Amino acid sequence: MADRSIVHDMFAYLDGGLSREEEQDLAVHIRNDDKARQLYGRLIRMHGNVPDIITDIETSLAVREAEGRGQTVSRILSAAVQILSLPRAAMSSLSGALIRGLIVLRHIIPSVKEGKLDIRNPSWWAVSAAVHAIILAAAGMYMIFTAETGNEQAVVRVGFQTVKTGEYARQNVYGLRSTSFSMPDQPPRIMVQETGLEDILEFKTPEDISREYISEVLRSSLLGEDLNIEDLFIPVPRVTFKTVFQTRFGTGRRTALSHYGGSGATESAVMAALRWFSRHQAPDGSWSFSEYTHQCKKNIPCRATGAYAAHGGLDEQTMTNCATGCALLCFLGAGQTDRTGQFRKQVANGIRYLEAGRKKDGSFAQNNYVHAICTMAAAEYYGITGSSRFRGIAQKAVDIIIDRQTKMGGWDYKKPKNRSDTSITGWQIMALKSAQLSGLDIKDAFSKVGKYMDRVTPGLLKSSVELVLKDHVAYACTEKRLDTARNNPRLTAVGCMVRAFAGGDPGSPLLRAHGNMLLKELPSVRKTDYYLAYYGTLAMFSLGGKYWEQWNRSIKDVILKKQIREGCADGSWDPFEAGKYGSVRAGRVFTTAMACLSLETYYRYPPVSINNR
Amino acid sequence: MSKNLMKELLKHRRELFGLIRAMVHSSSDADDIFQEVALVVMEKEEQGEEIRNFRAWSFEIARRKMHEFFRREKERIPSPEMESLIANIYTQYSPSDHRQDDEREALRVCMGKLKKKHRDLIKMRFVEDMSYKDISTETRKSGQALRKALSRIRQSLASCIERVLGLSGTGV
Repeated sequence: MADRSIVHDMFAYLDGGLSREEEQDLAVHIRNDDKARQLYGRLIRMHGNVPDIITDIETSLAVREAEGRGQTVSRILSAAVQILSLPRAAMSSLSGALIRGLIVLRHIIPSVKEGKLDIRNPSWWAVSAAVHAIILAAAGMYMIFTAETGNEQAVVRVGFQTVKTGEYARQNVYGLRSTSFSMPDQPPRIMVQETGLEDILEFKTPEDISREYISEVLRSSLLGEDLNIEDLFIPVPRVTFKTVFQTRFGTGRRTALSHYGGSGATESAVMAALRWFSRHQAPDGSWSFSEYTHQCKKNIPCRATGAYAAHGGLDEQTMTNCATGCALLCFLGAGQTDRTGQFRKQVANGIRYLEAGRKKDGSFAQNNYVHAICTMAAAEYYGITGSSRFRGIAQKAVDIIIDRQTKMGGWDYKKPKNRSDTSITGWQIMALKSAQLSGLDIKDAFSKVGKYMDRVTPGLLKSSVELVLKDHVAYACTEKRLDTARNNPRLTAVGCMVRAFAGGDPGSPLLRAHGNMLLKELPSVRKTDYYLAYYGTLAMFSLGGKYWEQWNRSIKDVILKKQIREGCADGSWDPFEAGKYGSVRAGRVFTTAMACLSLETYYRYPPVSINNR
Repeated sequence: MSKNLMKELLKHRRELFGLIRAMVHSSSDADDIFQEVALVVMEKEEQGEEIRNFRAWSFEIARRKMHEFFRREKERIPSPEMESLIANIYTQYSPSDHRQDDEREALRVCMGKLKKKHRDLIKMRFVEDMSYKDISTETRKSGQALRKALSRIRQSLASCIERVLGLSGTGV
């Protein structure tokens, strides 16, 4: 017989409400009592099972409720059908009664007005008959009318798909004139298809992708023979954000991960990278391209090879903002926020730093690279958490990006002059995409950028047919130097990504030509260009199909192989030699951010939303 | 051979999740830790590792991941007594799968009998990990009343499970 106070203590322990000594006492006590141990085991399992079962119960209740509503609708419907299918004669006599009643009334009203009406006067009976006829006819009409409006409004949520019974019903009511109409016994259920993920991700509003829907997919996949990654996880409802970035969290993320070619290995690489970032965060919440080694604590500090050779003319504050933005993007990309996940403190501090690091005009930096990276982080943070404070901050930053767009449609390093830069334009578009997905206003920036991209693709101006046939799409660095358009895969990747993000059709010959060209530039272990890797990954991910399949296979392989696995640098990537394009300057922090973001591509964006203007 | 580790984990996932939850006192933290455990298991499987005693092995992984978590979050680690007790319950005294299925079914039945408002309380506390304070703001109940209510609901769930399983001698 388990003692009541022990049970009480067991609950208290499971709630985390016992002191260390009480906890020890309880453990010793339970160990020596078979019955108590059995009970304790049961309670532990019970608490573990609760989340699963609550989800189940609520799902089945919702379905039952929907079925109930379906039946009500069906009852109204059959009433309507019965009335509609009354013999024509009956219908006409109903309306005849209505009309005749009105005529009689009209005839009598003058005598009422003249005070001639008398109860003994036979015309009173005519009034009565007329009123009754009108009521009868009106009731008939009313029934028909309500039945119809009833249909149109009835929306039954069945399973997880909204079915408008109105359309259903109207077709049947008008198409069928028999008395034997009824709704199907079983409300229509939408079955999850083999390639279920397209359905999941093709949501119109964030609400549509409910976790129940996904767990349904999981449950059905559990019945199959093959074991998938997601089979291993128990769907535990947690703090959920109603966000378009749903694929970054919990079940949505696992499903996306396995569907788009991620694996346990890529996920543990991402986690290791995030741990590296969290180890190298400065106490004030920032990250630094140059001084991250100050945070190294382990015996073997990070090798600062090639790290941070020059400032690139930027001041310390700007560079720190940039590094902080990069690191935050990695955390946010993996669904780590200040409210969910394992790095709450780090993200909270980073976000606080980002907010405090703004200039008076609301921008994060004069430099457009840096401003775009930080804006992207702020927009994603707003999009995920819905923080109303960040709505203002992010929208202001987005307005600044739009303000800095040149007439030509591109962006330059600083405020608009009369030149734009293709690579900088790439970052602005990524920031604007995150802003757009987060529900911020980006005006017509996307349609304007198309013009710029065409402008810096000299081949396109000559003959787009030739360009597509040759699979060679070369972009110029800037519209002022079209002669720079040579074989530069990095710019091709940028161009492809920008066109896809800004609404280009991934199936179009032009974008496929980009893809074919990039397929010839698959990343290699020997000489890894992480900048190309990141842009290329986004570009190929938005093209999908064979492009993504081949690209992903090699990028995954290369990036995983090159991750450092020891010492303080564990989880990071060595800076790569890539000329003057950012990474050498930025060193380990930037390289790690690019690699980590590439590995998060599987779930960072829902792919259909990429091309969605 | 390589399928076995995953299969085993799949089989034990609810139980393992339960004991992690018991020690970290939070469903979402337990979910995070469980994910990490699953990642390790996957890696080991890819390496073709053979494990003789899966329960002991998986508990050890979970234990390490939990300790990493406690360190990271600066949470108090459980006392060694409690840890070894829970390890014992999982590795030695765990009922058969069949029996555990019955337990789960019983919980489903009993939970179905709860009033909605009571189920909601359980949900807020044990699924959404809300603190007593947050729940009391949301439900406009005093903290004291809330603790009492939740304790009573859990006791009635536990004794309902025993009744359904035919164990009612134990009495809670």
